[in-house]
Amino acid sequence: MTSLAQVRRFRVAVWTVIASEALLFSGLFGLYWSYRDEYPRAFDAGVRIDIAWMGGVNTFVLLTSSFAIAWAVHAMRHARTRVVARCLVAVLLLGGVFLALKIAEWTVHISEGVVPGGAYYTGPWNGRGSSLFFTLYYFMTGLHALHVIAGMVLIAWVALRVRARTLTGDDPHALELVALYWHFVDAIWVFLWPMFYLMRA
Amino acid sequence: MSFWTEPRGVKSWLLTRDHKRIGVMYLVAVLVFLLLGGTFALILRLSLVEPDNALVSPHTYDKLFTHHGIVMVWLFMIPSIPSAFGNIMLPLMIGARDVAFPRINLASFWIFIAGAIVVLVALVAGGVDTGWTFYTPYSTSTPTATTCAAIGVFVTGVSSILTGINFIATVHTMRVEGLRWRDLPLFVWAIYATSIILVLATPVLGLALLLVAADHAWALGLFDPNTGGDPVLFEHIFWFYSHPAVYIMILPGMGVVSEVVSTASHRKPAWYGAIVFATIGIALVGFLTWGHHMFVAGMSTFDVGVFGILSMLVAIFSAIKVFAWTSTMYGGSITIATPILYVFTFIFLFVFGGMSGVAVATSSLDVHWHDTYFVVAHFHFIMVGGTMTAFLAALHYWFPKLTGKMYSETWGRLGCAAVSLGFIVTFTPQFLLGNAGMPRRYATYPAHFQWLHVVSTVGACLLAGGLVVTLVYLIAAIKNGKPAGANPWRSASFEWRSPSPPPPENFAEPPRWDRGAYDYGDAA
Amino acid sequence: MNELFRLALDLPPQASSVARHIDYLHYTVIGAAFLVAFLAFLVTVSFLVRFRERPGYTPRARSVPHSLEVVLASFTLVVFIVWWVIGFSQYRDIHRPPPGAIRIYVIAKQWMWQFVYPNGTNSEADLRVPVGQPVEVMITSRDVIHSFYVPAFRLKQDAVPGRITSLWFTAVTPGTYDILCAEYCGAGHSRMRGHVIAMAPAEYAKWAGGHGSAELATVGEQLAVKYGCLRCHTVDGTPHIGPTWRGLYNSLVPLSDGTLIVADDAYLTESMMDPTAKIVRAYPPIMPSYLGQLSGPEAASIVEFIRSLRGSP
Repeated sequence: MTSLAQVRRFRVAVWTVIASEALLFSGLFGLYWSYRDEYPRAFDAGVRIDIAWMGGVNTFVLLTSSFAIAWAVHAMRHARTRVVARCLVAVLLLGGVFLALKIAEWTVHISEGVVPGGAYYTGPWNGRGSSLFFTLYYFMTGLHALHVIAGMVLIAWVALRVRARTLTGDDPHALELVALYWHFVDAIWVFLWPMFYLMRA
Repeated sequence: MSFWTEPRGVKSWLLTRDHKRIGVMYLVAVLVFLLLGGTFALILRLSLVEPDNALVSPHTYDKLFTHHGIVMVWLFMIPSIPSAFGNIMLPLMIGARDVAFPRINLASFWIFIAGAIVVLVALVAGGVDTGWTFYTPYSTSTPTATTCAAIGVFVTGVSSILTGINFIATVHTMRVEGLRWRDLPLFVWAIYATSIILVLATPVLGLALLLVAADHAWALGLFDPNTGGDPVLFEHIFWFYSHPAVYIMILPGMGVVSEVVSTASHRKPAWYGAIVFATIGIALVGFLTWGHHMFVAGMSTFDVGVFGILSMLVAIFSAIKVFAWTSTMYGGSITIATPILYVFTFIFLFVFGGMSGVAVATSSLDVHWHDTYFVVAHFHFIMVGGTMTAFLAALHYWFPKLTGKMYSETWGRLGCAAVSLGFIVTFTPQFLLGNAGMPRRYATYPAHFQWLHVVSTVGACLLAGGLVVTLVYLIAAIKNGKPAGANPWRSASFEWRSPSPPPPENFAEPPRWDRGAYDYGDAA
Repeated sequence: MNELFRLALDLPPQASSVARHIDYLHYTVIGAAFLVAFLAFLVTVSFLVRFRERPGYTPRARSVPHSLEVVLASFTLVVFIVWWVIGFSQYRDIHRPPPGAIRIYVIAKQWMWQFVYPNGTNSEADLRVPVGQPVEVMITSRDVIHSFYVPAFRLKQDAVPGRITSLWFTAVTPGTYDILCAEYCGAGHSRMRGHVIAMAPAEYAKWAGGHGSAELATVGEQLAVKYGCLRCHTVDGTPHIGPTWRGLYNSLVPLSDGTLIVADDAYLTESMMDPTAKIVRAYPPIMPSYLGQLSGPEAASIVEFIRSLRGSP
């Protein structure tokens, strides 16, 4: 059973981790916006090359997974462990769909010659700054995907604890804190989605 | 029964969760890296005696100053006080049994060692010649072990973040019953503020290093003008971390100074509230001043103005602390011993170094001084004259608590004199060199700068000697020193209530916060 | 007085119009630093002596009043802000060239300085300027970040690849002043030096006159005719044997190997010296090399001419 003191410690720690991770992404956001300001046409072309439906589906998938984990937290407070288990499995499946789509999109890009670094040819478009867009695209979606994987590991761990009954309605804190992290990961994507899929010049 | 001997065995040390043992392991590690970084510095200074530098080739020189910077900043300065003394003393000072997450603490130490090993591999396997600042496009195009070094430092950054998280959680949740925020010892406040910077700034460094490593390895061109990249953007990302980083380096030192001044004077700190305010102020405002490293990089004039004024503001916080420390001594009953002597050195070196910082924050003056020895002198006054001196003060102040023994006071004073004098002779001429126009990172130089370089090198030899002597008599005292007792300095602070050295569980009985950390019974 | 302080602080001669005023601020700030540090030293020593623990000494309850702290902190803040105001206004002046400043291009590359003058000439390592005449230097780099530093002028500006930064100065006394690179740039960093040679106006006119009087781009155009470039390259956008020069400078050029490259100074110069290194897609690899025929400055002026061909004809 987690004592109140332990819960407080973990809560402080998780919020600190989230603040820290936010700063990690912030530098990349800063780079994106500086370069977008300088090369609006190149970034517009980059957005058009990104596969819009994949970005949209991924957003829907992640938002749904956040909803699912919120439902799990709610169910946990009412000690409905079967519902919790199902929700957590749903989150894991949705996370898997997200990652699969991401890999699929990367594969498509790479097969078209859109690789990070250097100057590259994007059909009729002839503009400076295009490689910057894609370097940032791969870096930011890659870094985000790593965080999705980390989140899924944590959710799997929580799911196992629910199954082993060491995580119960009286002591739901681990689930709540992991859910907090998962929402953060989702929130990052909510910024990445317009930046790389929606915002045309 | 002390934490040194309980539990027994090498494995019990390597896998320990005792914050004191982890702190001691950090202490040993940072001392080794201090000696390594110092050796690079000594070779640099010896080679600079001749304008034509017959001792090392320019390429080797470039690697030496890079290695000196990387080792000193990330393997010594950043962890020195927080990871060593912070780990050992923080729980003791708040009446806790350990830090919030002892296993993460252990992980943090081994991650630090892993990162340090990767850095050392880079130094040996080809070396790095980019300067510790890794400016692009040079860093992403030079055929040296840049990627390896950047990854090594990145890993030590992970260690820093974990330490910061641990300390924040500890201060928030593990204070003994009755210990309110407004009663916290100033060293604890300093470590707390440092931890805020650690968790918020280090990720940005991690990003900068990842980008350099990836760009160097795969020619991403993110900061390469040929692909439309902007090298100045790298400078912004780098300095956004590295300016707060210097506050990671000085705040814990200031915390030590507050403790030693108060204990030595047997008085509570004057203007405690102001010191706390200044500590948090430095931590937060320190995030807004990074552009003052870039006054001549091509930033807009408006930006130069904003960063300049914010830099002035940050300096005021430090000034407040200096006023408070001297006021604490006023009317006290001061025990003259090595720790307060180091604090004395700290005060006037830090004041001069801080004023030279205000000087370079003055934009028109910085145009002349930027990237000259003036800046080198400025930051060494703060980092060596400030932090390293405070580190030595901490070493001498908490030595009896840690070991149960006392070192020879005569040797202590001798070491302090040698270090202080050596420092002054090494770095004061460098202000003049900067004035005269001697740029930094120069392997060879115009002959008219020579005599100042010679004086500086003489000082460096004295400083090195003083440091070595200090380490020698301290190590000797571990074995041969006189027994010190639980509280040789008659301090009111909590850590002195435990035996010297403390047992594994810190306190013989669960502690009670029945009086303040600065309760010397003075009416004032 | 000025000389006394300047020599005591080991500052170089004040050879630019802004140097003296910058030095006045310098003396004040550094003087204050010494004073304050000395005060801190004195106060701390006196406290350590006066309030040291000794037999028979009982401390009296006394403390420094809060108001003193507020006064000291406020006074310090005011002083710092005054310095910032003066420093910032001086900084702004350094970056606002007066009208009528002559423009000289400074090109930094590992590990040398090249200067290109409005009259079309260029020089290496030695920058010649007239005394008493504002000069605006337009600084860039061909490779990594360098920094153009003239200690005697108290002036410095980074040379950043991919952009042009600028600085202006007026030399006040004839003489030779060191140029030093102030941003680490590799093994040759400490040897990347030059000189500013400030000449009396009459002498400068003589030197400038003797080195051609045409604009750089015009010189480039004449050379393009002389060496037959315009037989294959047009200047109005019409396709011909070689790529057109209209709009070429800094555009993205697709190469025969499928990559894209920016047609910057480096690429254009390389194309003249080693034309088969990079072939533009869909063009035959028949351009002859001009290595040994075109000097560095001549090549630079042709690049300058190409650069002038932006926009529609």
